[in-house]
Amino acid sequence: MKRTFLGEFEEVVLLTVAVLGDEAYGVTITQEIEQRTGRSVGFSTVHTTLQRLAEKGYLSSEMGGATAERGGRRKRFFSVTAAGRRALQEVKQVREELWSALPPQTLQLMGG
Amino acid sequence: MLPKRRTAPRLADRLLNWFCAPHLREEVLGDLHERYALRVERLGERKARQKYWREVLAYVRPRFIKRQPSTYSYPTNTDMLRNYLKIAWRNLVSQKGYSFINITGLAVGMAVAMLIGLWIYHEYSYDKFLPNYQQLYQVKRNYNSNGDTLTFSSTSLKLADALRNEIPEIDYVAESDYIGSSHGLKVGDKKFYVNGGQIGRDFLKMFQYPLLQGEASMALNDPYSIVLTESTAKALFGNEVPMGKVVRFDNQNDLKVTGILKDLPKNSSFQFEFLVPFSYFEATASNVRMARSGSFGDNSFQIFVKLKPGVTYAQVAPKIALIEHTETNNVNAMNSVVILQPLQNWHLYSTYQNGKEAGGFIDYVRMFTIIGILVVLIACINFINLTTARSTKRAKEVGIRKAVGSQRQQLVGQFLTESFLLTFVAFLFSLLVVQLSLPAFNALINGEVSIPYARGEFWLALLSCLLITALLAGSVPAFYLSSFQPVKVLKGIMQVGKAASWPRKALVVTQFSCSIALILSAVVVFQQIRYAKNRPTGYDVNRLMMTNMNSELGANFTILKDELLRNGIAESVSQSSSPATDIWWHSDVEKWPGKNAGETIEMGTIVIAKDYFKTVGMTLAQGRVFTSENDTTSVIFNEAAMKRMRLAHPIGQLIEWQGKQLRIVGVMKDALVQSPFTRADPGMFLCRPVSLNVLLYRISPRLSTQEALTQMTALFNKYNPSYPYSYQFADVTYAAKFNLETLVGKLAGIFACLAIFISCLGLFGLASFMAERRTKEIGVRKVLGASVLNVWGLLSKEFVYLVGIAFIIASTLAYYLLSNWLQRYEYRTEMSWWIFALTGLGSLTVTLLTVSYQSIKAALLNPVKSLKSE
Repeated sequence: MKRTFLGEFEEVVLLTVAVLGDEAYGVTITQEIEQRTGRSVGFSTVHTTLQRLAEKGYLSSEMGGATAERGGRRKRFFSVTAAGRRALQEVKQVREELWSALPPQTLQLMGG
Repeated sequence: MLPKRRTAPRLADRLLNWFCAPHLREEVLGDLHERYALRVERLGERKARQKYWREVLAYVRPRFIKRQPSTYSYPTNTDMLRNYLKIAWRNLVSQKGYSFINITGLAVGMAVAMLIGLWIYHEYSYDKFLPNYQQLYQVKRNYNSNGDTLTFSSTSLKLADALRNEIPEIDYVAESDYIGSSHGLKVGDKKFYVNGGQIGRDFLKMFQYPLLQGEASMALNDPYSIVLTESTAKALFGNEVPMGKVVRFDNQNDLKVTGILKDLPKNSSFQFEFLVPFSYFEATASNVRMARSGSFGDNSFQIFVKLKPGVTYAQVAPKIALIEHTETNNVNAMNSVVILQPLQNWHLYSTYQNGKEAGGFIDYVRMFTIIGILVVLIACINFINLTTARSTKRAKEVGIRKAVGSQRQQLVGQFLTESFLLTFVAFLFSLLVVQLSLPAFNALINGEVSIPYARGEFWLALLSCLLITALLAGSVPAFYLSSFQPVKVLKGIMQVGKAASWPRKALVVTQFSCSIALILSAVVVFQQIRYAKNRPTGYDVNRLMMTNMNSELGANFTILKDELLRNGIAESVSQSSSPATDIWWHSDVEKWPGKNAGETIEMGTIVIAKDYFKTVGMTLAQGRVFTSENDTTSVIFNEAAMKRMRLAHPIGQLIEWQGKQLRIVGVMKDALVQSPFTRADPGMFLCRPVSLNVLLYRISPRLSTQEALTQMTALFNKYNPSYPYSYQFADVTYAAKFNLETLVGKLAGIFACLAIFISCLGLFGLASFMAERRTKEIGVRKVLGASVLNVWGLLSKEFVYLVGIAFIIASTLAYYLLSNWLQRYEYRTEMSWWIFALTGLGSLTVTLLTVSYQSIKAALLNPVKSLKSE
């Protein structure tokens, strides 16, 4: 079976797209990440990651929703594909398995 | 009030629009602008603009720059170009032999052209590194000698002062003893005998050689100062700071170092190691002081001037020309017209004829420019010939391309692309060849030529050469190949008849004409050198040595001479006013029996000591030699002088020279003291009981040169401790007179060989192609009974015939050009028929060898194989 591979930032971006639902495009995604993670993110980095995820088939996109601030330019809205959802699931599952495999003493030490 | 600026930075947008791929522009710009608007609200405009710029710049990554590939190919020019390059590359690889010949030929040709180009650039760069070089001149005199105009660079101090004081257009004047004369420098026990000059105080303000230390306006002010070059200072003082230290000059006075010059580059006409103020010369030599207030006739100094900015020579020429004519009682001054030679012409225009620059090294520069162009042309012809000869091979391709819809100009484009590719590959190789051969080339020309990689002009020149070569080589095949008619070609009835091979033959003839003419030139140049070298000189330069005298050596002359003879080191020792291989002084004989009114003679004048004739090995024609150093009322002439003065019975006749009556006591046989290419100059010998300029001694044949040198070094160090022992061999100095001719001969020889090599490469390619095309014919001939010799003759005949024609053209051309070249030498070789015969034979042999490999290979082929068709 081919393992899904998601980088840490890719995972964050993919999740954010899923969180935002219909309103996921460059600006909102970047803002959401900045607010939730508290780290400052470059536009071009997010953009690159979105493209990469689209190439991997985890995201689909369509153009639409021009506004005045954008100078009449359309947005590219992203939505998570079925493959993207499966990938997120897999990642979550791996994490959960790892968490549950954690010995109780260690868990306690970590403040869990 | 201005409306609040809400729009994002325009320039940043334009930048983004330029680099960002079109399919991403909309979303990227949109997102950026939206975020910008948010930021303006939150952070204020200034910060938002800053962030905007940073974000735009962060988009400079391959992902955003790379354009989206189109799903279907749209036939733009680049697409076809790529196809042309692909086809060209495949042709290059599949036809390895031809590609090799083409590339090698072009690479060698271009390397030759590049070397010549670099060399010419070097020659033209002489003295141009000096700021304001256009305003710098040397003062010369056109001297009217019985109607002939002779140009001299020796001038008088009175002239220097006249130019300085009377011509307001002249900025500075610097007078000099002679830049390049040797003097002794001594610091502690380190002593050197090096070239330098005593020069007017403004010299460094005129010729702004870069000073590392000291100031140009101050360095030559004090008479007891000296300016050294960096390496001389290093040699004298080691790592100490030289400024302000003291150098003993000619073992007479201590001079303070007031400046350090950067070492002079090789492309400087002046080559000196030190400069001493002319005021020092005046302070220490009374005759120089007197010359300052003397006449325009005391011509033994050099003068350099700098014109004021904006003043041209044409403006001052009329003012200075007749400046010497104020001295009406002086014949020399009244016959002199003062002229200036611009610094930028010093190196290339050294000879004067009838008072005007008449060439010099520039002739050779021009000659080699032509050779360079010829060699490239020969290489281009190879390309043209091989491509058109193989045209049938590519005719089908042309037919199909045309049938599919290619325009003729597109096909022309295709073949030009091919020639560009080939030329470019050849160019890379040639650059490598040049880089590798530069050290050897520099050694040959004794220059400092290098590839100026960092200079834009260099690459521009190369690029244009590349372009021209590629067009030259590629245009003929391109237009020829693209002219095929697709119907004929594809039906297979294309006949490349006799008519098509005519231009090719003409080109081969051109190629070989050039090559053979070059070879002939090289041979004749060497012939001329050998002829002049074998010429009897009238004296013996072997084992003859010369050392410049100085006051100490003058004082110890007698004892040194005695020691040299007593120890058997030297056979004979003497001294004279000029070295054995030059004449430093020309003077006028005022009266002699049978002189015409107003007649003058430029008489080479040599003052000699006892044993001079014995030492240099000149022979007496009639009369006697001087009895002793005190025989000052006698004079000896050479035969050329007697002929010039029309004296049939000279012995015992009286002449007047510098106001003195002298009796002719002897006549010497002519000796070639100056140029080995001209007639012997009229000359006179005088004798004076004083110390002279040059010590002459012939070392004994019993000692090896090395032994003699060791013993002499010891002796000279004993009797001339202030100076290092320096010497010249007369035979070396004499051989140096052939330097220019030898260099020209060698270069012509090398380039001629390369030209022949390239031509033969082309011939080889053509021959192999002919053999290949006639395989079937040869097969049939062999079946019908032709011998190998028959076939060989059949294939070789054509080329031999072409080279024969080329030889006839080349020899006519070369004969004409070379007899012109030989005209410049008074003593010249005859161009005998056998030179031409041998060259012709040689080129035929080379041709046959080149062609035979292919023709014999073809002739030996088994007809079964060549006629078999599956």
